[in-house]
Amino acid sequence: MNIEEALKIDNAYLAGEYDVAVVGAGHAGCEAAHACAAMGLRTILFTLHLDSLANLPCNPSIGGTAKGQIVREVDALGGIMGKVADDCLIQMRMLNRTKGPAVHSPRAQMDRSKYSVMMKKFLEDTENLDIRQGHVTALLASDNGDGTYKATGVMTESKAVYSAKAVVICSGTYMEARTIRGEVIMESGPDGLPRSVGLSESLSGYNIPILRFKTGTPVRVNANSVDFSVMEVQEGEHDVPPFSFENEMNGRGVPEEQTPCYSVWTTPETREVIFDNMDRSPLYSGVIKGTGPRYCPSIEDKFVKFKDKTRHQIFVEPMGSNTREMYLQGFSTSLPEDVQVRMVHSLPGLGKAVIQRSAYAIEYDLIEPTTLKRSLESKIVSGLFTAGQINGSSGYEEAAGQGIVAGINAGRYVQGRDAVIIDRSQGYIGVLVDDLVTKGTNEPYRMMTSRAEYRLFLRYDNADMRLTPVGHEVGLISDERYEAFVRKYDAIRSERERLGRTYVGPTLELEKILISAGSTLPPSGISLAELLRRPDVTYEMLAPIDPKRPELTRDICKEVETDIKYEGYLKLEEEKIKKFIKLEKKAIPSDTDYSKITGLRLEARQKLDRMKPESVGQASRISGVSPADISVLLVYLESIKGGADV
Amino acid sequence: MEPFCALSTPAGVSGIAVIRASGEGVSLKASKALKILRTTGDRTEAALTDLKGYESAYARFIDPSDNRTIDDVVVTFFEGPHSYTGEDMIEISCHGGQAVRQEILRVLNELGIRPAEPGEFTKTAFINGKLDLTEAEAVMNVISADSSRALEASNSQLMGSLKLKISEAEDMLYKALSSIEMMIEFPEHDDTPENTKTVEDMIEGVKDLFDSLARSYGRGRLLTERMKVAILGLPNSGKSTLLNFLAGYSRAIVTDVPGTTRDMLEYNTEIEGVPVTFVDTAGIRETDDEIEAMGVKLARIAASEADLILYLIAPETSYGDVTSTIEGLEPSKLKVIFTKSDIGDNPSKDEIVNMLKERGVDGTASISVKADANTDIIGRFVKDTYEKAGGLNASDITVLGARHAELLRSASGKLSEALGIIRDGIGVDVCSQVIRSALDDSGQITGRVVSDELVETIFSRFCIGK
Repeated sequence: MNIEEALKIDNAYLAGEYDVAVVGAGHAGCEAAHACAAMGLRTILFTLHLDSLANLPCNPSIGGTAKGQIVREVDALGGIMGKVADDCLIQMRMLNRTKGPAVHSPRAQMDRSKYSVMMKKFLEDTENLDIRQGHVTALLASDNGDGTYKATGVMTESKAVYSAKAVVICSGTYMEARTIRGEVIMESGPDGLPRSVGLSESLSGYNIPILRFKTGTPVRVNANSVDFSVMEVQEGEHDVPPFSFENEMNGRGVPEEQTPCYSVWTTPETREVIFDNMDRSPLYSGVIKGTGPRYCPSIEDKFVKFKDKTRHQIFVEPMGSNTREMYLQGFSTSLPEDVQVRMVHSLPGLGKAVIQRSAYAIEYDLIEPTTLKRSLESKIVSGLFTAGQINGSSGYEEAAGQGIVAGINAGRYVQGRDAVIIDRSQGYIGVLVDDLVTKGTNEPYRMMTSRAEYRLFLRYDNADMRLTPVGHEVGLISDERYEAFVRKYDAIRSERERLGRTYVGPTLELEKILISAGSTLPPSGISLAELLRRPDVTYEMLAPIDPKRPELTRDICKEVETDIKYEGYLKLEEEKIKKFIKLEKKAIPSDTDYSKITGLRLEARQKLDRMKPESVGQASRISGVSPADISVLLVYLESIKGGADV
Repeated sequence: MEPFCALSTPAGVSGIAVIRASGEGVSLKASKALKILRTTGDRTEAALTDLKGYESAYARFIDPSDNRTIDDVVVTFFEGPHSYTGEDMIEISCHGGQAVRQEILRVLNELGIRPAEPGEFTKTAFINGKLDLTEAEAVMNVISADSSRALEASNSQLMGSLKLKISEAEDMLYKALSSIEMMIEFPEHDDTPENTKTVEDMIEGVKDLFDSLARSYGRGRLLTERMKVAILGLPNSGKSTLLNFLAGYSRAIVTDVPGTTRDMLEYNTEIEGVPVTFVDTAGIRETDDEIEAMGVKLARIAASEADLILYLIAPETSYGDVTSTIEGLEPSKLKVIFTKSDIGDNPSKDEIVNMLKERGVDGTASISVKADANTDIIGRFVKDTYEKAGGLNASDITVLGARHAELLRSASGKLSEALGIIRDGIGVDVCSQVIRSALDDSGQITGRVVSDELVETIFSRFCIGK
């Protein structure tokens, strides 16, 4: 349905004209809308319920392994998740401190309601951005007559028609959602919120394939009814930088006063309750048909699939500063309410726990992500972008990462500029997007550091180095912030060089330092950089023998240390990245007729024709395309270029 | 382009073979193995890097790791862009034996000249503008034909079992890696079954296996596991004559290993390009002599271990002696040779041949070493057996073997590094990255993609989630 047809419907009216319409105000939608508005485009952001904007309906935390890196990347691009999270965190930790800098991952517990309120205010104060509570039921697009379409706007339940040059859909778990709690099945979004009806059918009408996934969330209990004395306490840490680089550069730390989390283990009774009631589990009785994630199984799933594990760990996390609600991480279930009560009461310290919200599973519609380009624009409907769970991902951070990519590219589309692609060597965001659009997914996709092949390079501390130039280029990073960024990396570079050319003799003082690090004195003079490469020798440790050391901020010292310590490995990784980029840069024309390329195997021909990869690099990651097929493709591309140049 | 090499003369046995290498710095890399003895310009003090374009030299190809001579060769240098690929190239003309070719390729790989991908020379030539654009289609066909041939070979029984072994080792490595990754991905989960020691042991085990596979396949399966040919027959059937002839037939590589505990002579040689061990046995006949009986027993054991049995029959041997001694020999391995054909035929020859046919023996021949009549039949028997056993032609083994061995060596080197990292206490992030890189190498043989497999392994082994 195009705009003209929509306006002919009874009671339909033209409610507004925008550059970009963003549907859904979760973590993806908020980033997308903010990015478009900040790029100077007239933007409208729709939400089903204004009070649940940027909701954290599952665990009340942001960050963690791989996810913490994504939050930093979003911030480095000029996004907002990190900034709002810094304002709302009640506990901060750096995970994996002992496991090497590449996997250091910041994670924070959020004050859930504050996060929603602060995000709402942030967006309300954003220029060029209108926020509207409304139920979008249709995508409007004109037919190109060749099986493709062009997005022109959206229409709401009340027949309000909004024209838009680009549309970004971030429908989260809301499209045709239903929640399941044992025998109780509700047509509802998460937290009892209204669901989205009709939009999925509208997308399907443009021949966009629709899939269905499932996820779940655990019970919430009242802290006053919990005996924390039997639980292991997990305190927050203070020696952690904030999420936002801007806050870090301004010297802001994390709050002095933080709220603890707790952990307990399930008991034999928990297991017994679950197995006794397995016949009432909708997961096993076949009521739930959507595909659930393996990394986020319900507790009954864990007991069934890992039979030899007799107990599982449960984390008890606060939901905020102004509430007693606690979240039981690791205890998600779709068993009936009465079973849930007995399960919770079987846990140490929770014997008398008062349940405030039940656990439930939720099923929702999404689109087939392999129908997207790496810009997150649909290959079928131009000007339509999608981000977050609608693309098959899971997680707030994964949503935000896609949101900012979709927002930037919707903006670029309206501006008539080339799309901005973040590749696998530039960030976890690049890995996430590439995996989704190239390989697709058959379960909600969670980011893991193991998915990134250039992990040593994709660190939380250098996310700005990787992505702030991109953010500046597209107009999301101010000149002022960019200049500060340039100064930071100038300082890093000159300090690295200084350490490389500053030599120290084998003095007693040095020996003392080295012995304390379990190392030995070198026979002759040695550079500070060389010393730093030794395991267990830190930058800080060398201060007494390095009197000419300049005054540098902590983040700079840390990055200098990592760069030097890992120099050899980083160089190897850079070599690999260079090779990777070479193939990524070999573009494949979108009108390539694979049936005309001799030498391609049939399977490769079919897959390539269906996926229409944008580069040779992307083609090489499609399953069923062999290295020989890639060679053939390279030769073909050379031949159509009409000349050899290497 | 990083340099690559391949055998460029066709499959199978030939008098000489040509190995080509192309890429940036190829002469410098190869110069470590090629010691110039004399150039066409009659210089004797030249290095490979001193050769001008199109200049050839007589050179000794050595293994720089132990300075052992592999072959004397002729090497020609082509200076880019005036070469087939448009890059610097060298061509090495060596002797045609399987072992020599394989050793030269292995040494080149170790010097950083990797095995070529299917069709890579042609592809490189095309990309460097050395071929006409209209030839693009032909090039693409070459690549796909080459790769399907390689695929066919890699799916053969021999390669299949190699792949299986590697894949099992990979499983172990994925297990080790997933333990490390589990600690990284879910740091708060108190659920890591292996301690560092177990992980180290797993890596160590895989490294050892990769090493031994690389050794056996890098030097060629048939170098370490030579084809065994047992020579049997009644006393005076001409065994010694034949052995002496075979010893003289072989070139410099021949070494004779004097009698072992079994009191038998073994001659290592290369015949028709196939490395062979000929085993001389005592004459077999019914006997009461205790010592001779022992020799007969040993001869029968040698026959049962051999890939090929040459059973010799002299003109004077009777039908009865043949039937009584041929009993128990595996017919499919048996080739029967009527010796001394210059003296005359065995009177029972037709009868014997018929009897053999009934037993399923299909190879018989008459030769005379003295008159040098039909002696090359031995080579043909050897070659037939070799190809039947391997199911591969010689060039596939060389190409695949070299590539696989190189990948395994590279993977093993990375595993050593990973072990070093664990022992030095450097971050597990680096260790994991190095192990992944090893799996990238072995994955090129088994076709397993690390990022996919790793996530699968983590999910299947650990119970994780919120």
